Amino acid sequence: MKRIKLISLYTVLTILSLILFFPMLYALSASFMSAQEVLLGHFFPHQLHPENYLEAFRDVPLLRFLFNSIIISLIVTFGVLIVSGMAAYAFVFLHFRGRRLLFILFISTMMIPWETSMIPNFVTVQHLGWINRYAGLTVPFFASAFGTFLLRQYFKTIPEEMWEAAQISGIGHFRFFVKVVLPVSRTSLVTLGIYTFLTTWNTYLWPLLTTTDERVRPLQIGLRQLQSQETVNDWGVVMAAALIVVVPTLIVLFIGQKHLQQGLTDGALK
Amino acid sequence: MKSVELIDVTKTYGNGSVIIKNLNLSIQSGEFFVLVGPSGCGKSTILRMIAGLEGMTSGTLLIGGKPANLLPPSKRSLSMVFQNYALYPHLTARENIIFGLKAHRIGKDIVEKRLREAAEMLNLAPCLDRKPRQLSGGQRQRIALARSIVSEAPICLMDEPLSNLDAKLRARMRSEIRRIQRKIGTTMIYVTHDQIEAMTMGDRMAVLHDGTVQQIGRPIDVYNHPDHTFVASFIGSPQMNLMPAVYDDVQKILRIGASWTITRELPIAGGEVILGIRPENIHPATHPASAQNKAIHFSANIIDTEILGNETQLTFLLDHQTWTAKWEGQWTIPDQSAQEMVILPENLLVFDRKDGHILYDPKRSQKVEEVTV
Repeated sequence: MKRIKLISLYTVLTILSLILFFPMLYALSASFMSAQEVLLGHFFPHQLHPENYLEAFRDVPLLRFLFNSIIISLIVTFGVLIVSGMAAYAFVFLHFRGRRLLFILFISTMMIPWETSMIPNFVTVQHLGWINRYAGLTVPFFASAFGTFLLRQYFKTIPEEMWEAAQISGIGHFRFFVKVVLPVSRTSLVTLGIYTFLTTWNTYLWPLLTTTDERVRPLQIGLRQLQSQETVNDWGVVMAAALIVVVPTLIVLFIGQKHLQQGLTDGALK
Repeated sequence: MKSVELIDVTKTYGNGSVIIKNLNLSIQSGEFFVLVGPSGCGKSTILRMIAGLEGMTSGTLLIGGKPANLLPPSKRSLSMVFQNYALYPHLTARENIIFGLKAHRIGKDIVEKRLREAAEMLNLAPCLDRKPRQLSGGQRQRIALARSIVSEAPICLMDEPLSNLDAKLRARMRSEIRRIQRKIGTTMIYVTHDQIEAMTMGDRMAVLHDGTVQQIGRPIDVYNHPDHTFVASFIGSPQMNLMPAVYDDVQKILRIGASWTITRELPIAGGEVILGIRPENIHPATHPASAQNKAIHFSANIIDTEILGNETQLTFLLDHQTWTAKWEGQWTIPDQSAQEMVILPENLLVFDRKDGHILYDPKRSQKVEEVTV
């Protein structure tokens, strides 16, 4: 009985995962096909064309884009962690008048669609002279209401007595933040870090608006450039590039997953 | 070691509720002082005000004779042990103990020496490299104690440190904390709701109720001579029998309930009073006390008996009031049977029924005489 249940469960899961994974599988398959073969609607390549991968690197400065994407994503990730962490700390451990109101105001910005603030943000960045610069691509994302909210919820579970004990021993806010709050909240920090890294990795519109220079543009734009540069798209090359784009995010997920599981069990046994 | 003094301290919260009213406490240097009271009586608030974790609305705090109202917690030369221990979960026991010392830039040799001494004192050596979650409740408690010891602060504050431990461990830690306090000589201010801790640990104790001090004194004096019905009922287990009564100062008769009267002259004005007697002062008729000619004999219907090994706790009804008595030895008495009992008038306390203050305490006057002689 148990066996039947298990088998049926796995059957359903396998079918579902195949459906969900199909585009990826097709992309992998297509990345080894020639342009004609893709257009003929073949499912498997008759002949492997691994040179598509080399082509992708030759057509656009893919390595440069990859480097930019990594730099931008890392800067935003650490920026968000630092800014959100400090903001969340203030909302939890600093007792000041109007703290609740300020917090409500702060998280209510989550309800404003990003698209509406895009134009004012663009104007600001333009005035700062940050067009075509890493600063313009990263700094606007540092203040994250979501990140602050997430970390605040976790910081609130840290007993107030820990801060009181620190106060009595003469440990100040900054030391307490760095030496106690951050290490204790590792799980939440990793979660927020991965989320931020992946979101930043996948942004398209903002880099498109604020950059014209290939030297600072991220991968997502490079991918788009591959498509439009030729009259007839060489889909094999595009797919090869798309797969290259995916690899770093998979690495981040794998590393993060290990940390996440570790973090979760840490919390459970506390 | 330093003394702690609170002068006319008041604490009110923003919504106008008064937590502490005109508190005056003087805790001597090196003393083990216990603040005891039911939950919500303000005892933890007092401790937190001394620590500087909470501000006072008015009043003065003197630490070592110097005003300390405005000092930050770290400058008040004290350490604190919290109810939930407040250990840092990501640090090992060793790191937890010395965490505070690092902030004070104390030399490595001194830190090591203090750590070693504290670990030895509390038998912590085997678990120094483990994290709090790998330790038992008792061990965590010791880490919290060790953290306080290594700080070598002249004043130590403890907020119900034993309430998360099981009964057996609690009893052991009680004497251990007492032993360490004597050895180091710290001024200890200890908050608890547990009257056994208050009775056994403190040099002196203050019984608190609704933000006011009801009585301050040596535990044994507070037990024998409660100033107030609240203290009388709060300290002692089972609690003191407190019965409404009326004293007739013309006929010199004390009327308890409808039918029971005791003829006795009391140095108080007539009126409504509350009569108090400790359960252990109600004796069986066979007790030697019944031979004394001033002894008061009465009979009551037993409704319940509990044999607790070496003593028996009896519940009986007297004029629709439930009384408890504690007799030495093991007594098997059938329920609903009448039992002869005896009390001595010197064990009767008389309180004012209106404000609960003591009106007459026969043994206290004797004691005062002893002192004056």
